[in-house]
Amino acid sequence: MNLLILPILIPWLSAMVLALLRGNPRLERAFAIISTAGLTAFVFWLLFHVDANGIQTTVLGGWNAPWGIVLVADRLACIMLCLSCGVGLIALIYSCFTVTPRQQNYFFFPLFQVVLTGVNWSFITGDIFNLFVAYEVMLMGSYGIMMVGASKVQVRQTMKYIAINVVGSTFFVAGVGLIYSTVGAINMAEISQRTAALTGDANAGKAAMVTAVSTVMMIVFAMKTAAFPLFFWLPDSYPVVPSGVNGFFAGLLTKVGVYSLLRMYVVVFRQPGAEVALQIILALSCFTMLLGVLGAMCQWEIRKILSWHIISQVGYMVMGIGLVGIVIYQPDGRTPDVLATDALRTAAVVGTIFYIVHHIVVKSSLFLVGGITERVTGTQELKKMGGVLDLAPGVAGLFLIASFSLAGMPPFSGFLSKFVLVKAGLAGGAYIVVAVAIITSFFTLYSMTKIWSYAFWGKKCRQTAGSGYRALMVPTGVLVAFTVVMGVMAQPFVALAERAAKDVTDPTAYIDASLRTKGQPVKPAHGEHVEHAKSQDSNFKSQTSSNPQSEEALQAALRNADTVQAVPAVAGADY
Amino acid sequence: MELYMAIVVGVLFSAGTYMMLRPNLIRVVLGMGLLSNAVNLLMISCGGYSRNLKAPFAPAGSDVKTMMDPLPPDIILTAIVISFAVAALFLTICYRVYLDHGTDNPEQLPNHETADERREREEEDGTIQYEQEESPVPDVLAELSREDKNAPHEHVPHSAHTATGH
Repeated sequence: MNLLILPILIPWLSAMVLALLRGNPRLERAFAIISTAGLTAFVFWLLFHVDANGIQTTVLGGWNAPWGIVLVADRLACIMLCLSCGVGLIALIYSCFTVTPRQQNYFFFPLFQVVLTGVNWSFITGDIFNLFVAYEVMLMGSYGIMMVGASKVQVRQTMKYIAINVVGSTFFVAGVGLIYSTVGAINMAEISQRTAALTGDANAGKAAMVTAVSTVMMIVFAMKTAAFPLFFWLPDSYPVVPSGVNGFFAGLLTKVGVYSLLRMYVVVFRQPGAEVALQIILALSCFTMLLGVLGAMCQWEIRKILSWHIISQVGYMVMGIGLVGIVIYQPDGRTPDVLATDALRTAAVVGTIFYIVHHIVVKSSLFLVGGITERVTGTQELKKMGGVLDLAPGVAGLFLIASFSLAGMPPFSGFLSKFVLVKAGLAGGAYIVVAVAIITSFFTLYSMTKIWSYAFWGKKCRQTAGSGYRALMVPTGVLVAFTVVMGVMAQPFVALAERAAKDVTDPTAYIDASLRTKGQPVKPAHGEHVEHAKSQDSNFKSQTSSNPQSEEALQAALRNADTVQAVPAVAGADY
Repeated sequence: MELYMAIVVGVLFSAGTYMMLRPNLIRVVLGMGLLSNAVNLLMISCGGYSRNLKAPFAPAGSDVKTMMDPLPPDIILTAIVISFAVAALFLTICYRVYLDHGTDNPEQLPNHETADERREREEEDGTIQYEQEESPVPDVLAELSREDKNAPHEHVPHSAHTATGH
């Protein structure tokens, strides 16, 4: 389906058009909103289409899948696209009210579209080097938008942000190269197929090598995600972003990292021993949750508190990904219990997906409410605020709902997403992680209470509320309403997350769709073997990769590829 | 060949890392350049570079076994372009930081934002609005939010009332 290019193309083209429209503020705003609204409508249609008709793919440039770049839209990617475009649209409408003419002169709207391009692109691509390019597009846009206005502090923090991301990009390219030399592929589906075939003693060394190489990539994704040892850049850089974009950044940029972790470590790396990487992720998630929330507790500015909360919330999602790596053993303690392990994997992925959806909506809406509160009180310092409950009761209501949802109170989406994750954690016996998760949500409630009692209760900090905040409540209200709907009428969302999780935990359909685009068979050097393996795969679609016959065929294909393939793809061994 | 490559890549990586840790912004940028070159060389050796292999321009029927894998050079080209663009931006920003603060030593830069900077940001962001000034609500939505512009006047009596009520 060639339409798959649209989530990348529409924001990219509109960024160019918007750059030319500089100097016409009205036209610029109208165009930005119209193009993003159109894009949002398209991606929601795409979600329903993919949900009904299965995974859609597009080959770029006419090269077939293992060599050419392929765009793959499975359910997970479509959910993420809907979130990025939907939240992007709302943040854009909010920004239209708040952006100053000076900020607009710094190419605010074109840069916003560039960030959206990069985010959409990294959700939809099926090739790890293309993922790197998507990351760079997203980062370039975010460097620019972080400096909109070019005040001293913005430039300084952007410099740090660039420096850390440059190191990250270095590791990314190195990881791509190492994966190419060990596995011989950079197409995600092909890597997944080849790593799954690395079973048996003969391949044990290679499997271990792939696991080691995959941890190089983990550095990059953990950095983007702001997971434990690499989170320090986030609380410095996010508060300097203009307040409308803050919601978009907070909701989406770190979640691109989470999505990539989920995609790479659950779908792509399936070699025996891949659990090691996931267990590292699980261990890091504890520190991420706890340190993030402890950092938030000692901040005295709404947007800084919320920035630290991003880190602790990311910990929950990363915990969900880490839980996928837990293997449940049968009572004798030696043989893995396949059924229970599969159920746990599915539950963990469902929890992660649900949490990502919940988090993007709630965190963005909290940042937007925070921006409104600052506008109402005329200050950004929590200690100078007060009495917003009297000044603007509506804003207080929005904040109350969003913060309760963030902390995990029952009627809202936060409760359900935490419930699913905690349940999966208990099923997997990860008691320490579950304990940390629950303690963290208490601390979250504490720091939300701090904002509430300083900003919303107390004496009024000024006689009248600052002007122009009412219009901002409309886009924010839509987001807040969504978290209520997601909590109260959870069934369709959970069902969708379950269907998406099935695609993720059993990537047969994903591989099938991306390697066999437009219904044409793939024609690699080892074509017949792959064909053989594929037919085996589709026969046993319901089962996971533990099917011995299909694995044997894949291994044969892999061995064949090593020897016959002209290109020295597995160069590490040959040279 | 791989051994030499490994040594060169290792030296470049360590030199780049050392440069990035120096308290001097220009060296940070140069260190970034070294790192990206180190990665590019790593990529070449990942593709199985050897003197005996030919360039991958294959007329029909030629023996592809004697040719180099074209994918790593392709990746490297893209990576070079990207790192070049990022380096240009990074260099500009470092210069701007130097103009702003009069130093190129990152250790002498303020760690957190100062009170002045916070005020500047609050003004920039439209958080602080001065009573007499036109609020920076954009034109296109001015019609929509006309009530909002009048809101303070409407609400003065109301809030005054509640204040006295307490």
